[in-house]
Amino acid sequence: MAEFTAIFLPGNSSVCVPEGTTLLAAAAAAGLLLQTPCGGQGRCGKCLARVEGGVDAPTSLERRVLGPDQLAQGWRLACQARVAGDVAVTVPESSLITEHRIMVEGVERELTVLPNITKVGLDLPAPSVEDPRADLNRVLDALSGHVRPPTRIASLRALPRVLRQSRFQITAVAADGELLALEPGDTSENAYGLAVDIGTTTVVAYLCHLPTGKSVAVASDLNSQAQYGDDVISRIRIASSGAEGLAALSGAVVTVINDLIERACHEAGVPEEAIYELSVVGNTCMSHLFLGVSPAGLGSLPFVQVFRSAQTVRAADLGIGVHPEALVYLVPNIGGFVGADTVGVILASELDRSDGLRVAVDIGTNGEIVVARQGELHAASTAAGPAFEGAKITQGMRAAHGAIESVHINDDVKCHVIGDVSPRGICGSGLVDAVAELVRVGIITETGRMLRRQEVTGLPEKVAERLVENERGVAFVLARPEESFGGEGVALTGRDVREMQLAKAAIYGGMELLLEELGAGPADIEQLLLAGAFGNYIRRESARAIGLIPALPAERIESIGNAAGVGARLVLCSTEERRRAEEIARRVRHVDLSERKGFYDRFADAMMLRPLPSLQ
Amino acid sequence: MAVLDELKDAIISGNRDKAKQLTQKALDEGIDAKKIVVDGIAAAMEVVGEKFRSNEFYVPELLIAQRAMKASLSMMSGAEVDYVGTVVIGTVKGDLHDIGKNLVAAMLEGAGFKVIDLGVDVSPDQFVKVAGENSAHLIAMSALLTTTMGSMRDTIQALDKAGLKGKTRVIIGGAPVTQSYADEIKADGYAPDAASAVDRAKQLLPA
Repeated sequence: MAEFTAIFLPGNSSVCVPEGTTLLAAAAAAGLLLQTPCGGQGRCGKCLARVEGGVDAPTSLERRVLGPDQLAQGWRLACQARVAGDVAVTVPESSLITEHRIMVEGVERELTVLPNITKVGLDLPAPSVEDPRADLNRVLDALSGHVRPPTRIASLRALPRVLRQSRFQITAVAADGELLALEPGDTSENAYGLAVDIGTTTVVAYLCHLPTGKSVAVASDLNSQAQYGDDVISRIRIASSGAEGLAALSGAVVTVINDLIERACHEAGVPEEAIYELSVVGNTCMSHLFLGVSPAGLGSLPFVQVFRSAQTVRAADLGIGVHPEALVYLVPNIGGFVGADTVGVILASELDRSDGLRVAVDIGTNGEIVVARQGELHAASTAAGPAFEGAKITQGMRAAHGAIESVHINDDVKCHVIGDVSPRGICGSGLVDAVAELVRVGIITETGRMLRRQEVTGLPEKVAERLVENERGVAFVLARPEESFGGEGVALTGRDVREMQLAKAAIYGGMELLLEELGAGPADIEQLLLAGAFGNYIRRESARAIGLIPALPAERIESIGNAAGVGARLVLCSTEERRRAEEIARRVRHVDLSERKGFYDRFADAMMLRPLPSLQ
Repeated sequence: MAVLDELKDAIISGNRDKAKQLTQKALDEGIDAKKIVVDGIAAAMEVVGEKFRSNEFYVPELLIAQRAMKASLSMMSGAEVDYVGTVVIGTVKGDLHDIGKNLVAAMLEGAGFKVIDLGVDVSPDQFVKVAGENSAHLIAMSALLTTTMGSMRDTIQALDKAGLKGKTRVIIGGAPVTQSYADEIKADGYAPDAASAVDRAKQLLPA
């Protein structure tokens, strides 16, 4: 088959690919990751690129998404267009996966430091005629019989060399009472672990000093599985398609974690080999993919997991670049898609020990909700969809540089943009803000319709002229072309409002239904915890005004940051917390919302863009 | 007929209580049930569909209008109604997401179809069996997950095997479904939303 050269601009990176390769695959080969929230199925229109030279004819999907004008100007969807000759591809910044902002800190709470990994410095007597004990016995005796012999042959083979090279001054490393490794000299203070939170969108890693339980470095990055689709269903589909798909997805997340290890270790000046254990949380799909276990059963009813309980495996078996004998502890799942990350949220916020009615919501692609009262716990996930992470919104983007994150309307519109740069899109918190403001000034009705300019009266002139109309319907211009990055302007369309409405109704309706399990309603919530990045950046007044969260007094709402990550740190540094996490996973009842009678009605009511619960 | 116009407006604006009252009033005035259905309910749902197509209405307005419609329709039970066609509807095997399917069912009902709703997680055999028993003109299938939409093909094949292909036609929809997918699995029709589903369903009825 013929090979052709594809040059990617503005970076000028080029790559040689066989005829028929998609531009998306060619870009990846050239080191460029393009946005593909729909998983490269040609539906979302986010992987736009401008093409000159040899490509095939536009597909029917592209004709629908792009329209004749864009096609005439050479715009194509990188996931659909295929190389048919030498080609130059200009990739606008809006199509690239770029730097982003996420939560790294989280609630801190008391914990008893009791790591699973223990290191003991030993100064052993050298063998003599009077004391000819076997090497292994010499070590184990010194540990006063609390530690079992190693189960791995490599440790035994290394034993005589390490002992003699270090003149019998060694450090024994044990995990859960089993001898894991021996190191020359006293390295007992040099013990580290890594807590990892694998999100559908981002991965965060905390490097922790095990003897003190302190976090010494944090690193985060996008989950590069995103190139296979933004939501878990797209990834399940790819993982179910065959061994190759599954390997690609699990390889992607391992690569990200290895990169984070390198960065965190570099920052803290810690060698990678000083990491003896990883603790990992993520939703059920992420947990499965991380271990390279097929999540196919989660793709359709009855949503069966391969495993639910905690798993301990060797880091080396997963290809993770830490100490060769290091272990990985995967926190147990709850049920359905509700996974270890939710166990982490419950552990960090101590919902398992609540007396009063407390609710935790993690708003993301998969919105998780937990309700707790007097030790009774119910959890559910809602397929809120990726609207709050920018996908499905015409000019939606993640919370990265150039994203409008807040909107105020008075005489005119004032937007705040992440990084104080020219705006190029809108992120989840900006979306909620914009809708709340537009409802307040009467441009969007409570049922969610964006009105035409002639339908609204009494608007300040500068606000009114931002309300525009084209062949695709009405839109509100947040940033005029001359104010924006790339000169296209940033607008919120009537359709975008509808997408957000569906997402927020899924979350609010789900919460209401889950509260019913406890015979309670939203007004009874004594404390509402907002977990995750979104929960931290969102303006609460806006979220309450449009009924994304219940209209509770401000003092009853608290942002708790990346609580799932805090949970991962807790189980890394304390075996007590580990047992508690396992108990939580057993105790929480998983509720499948879509099976519930009444979800349909709740969902309909929760669509209204007004403070909820309604007073009438 | 003033009361039917009022009923129509009540349904369009989703006022369930008023729709019920007005239906009762119409019945009390001795208006024929068929006439109430055609000039009140179906006329209202047609306007709702138009507003949906012009982007004035969306899912929330559809949901509340549909609740009002159902309330009105439920008072008509027992009355003789001339259906324009019979449709068997459900979400496919493995799929629980029924909001879109319910909307389509309601719009079809409002447009005068006899709707047999099999609910969620419907197997190919169930679809085919019920369609055969009721000599249905149409099977309408919905899937919201890319992982479950494959079951649509199975239903079409099962229909073929049962010798019903051609007698009962198939219309599909749902977020991941496209016209090209419909072509690929040889479905007779595809609709991107609830309003166009009604139009497409009417086109697929035997002349």
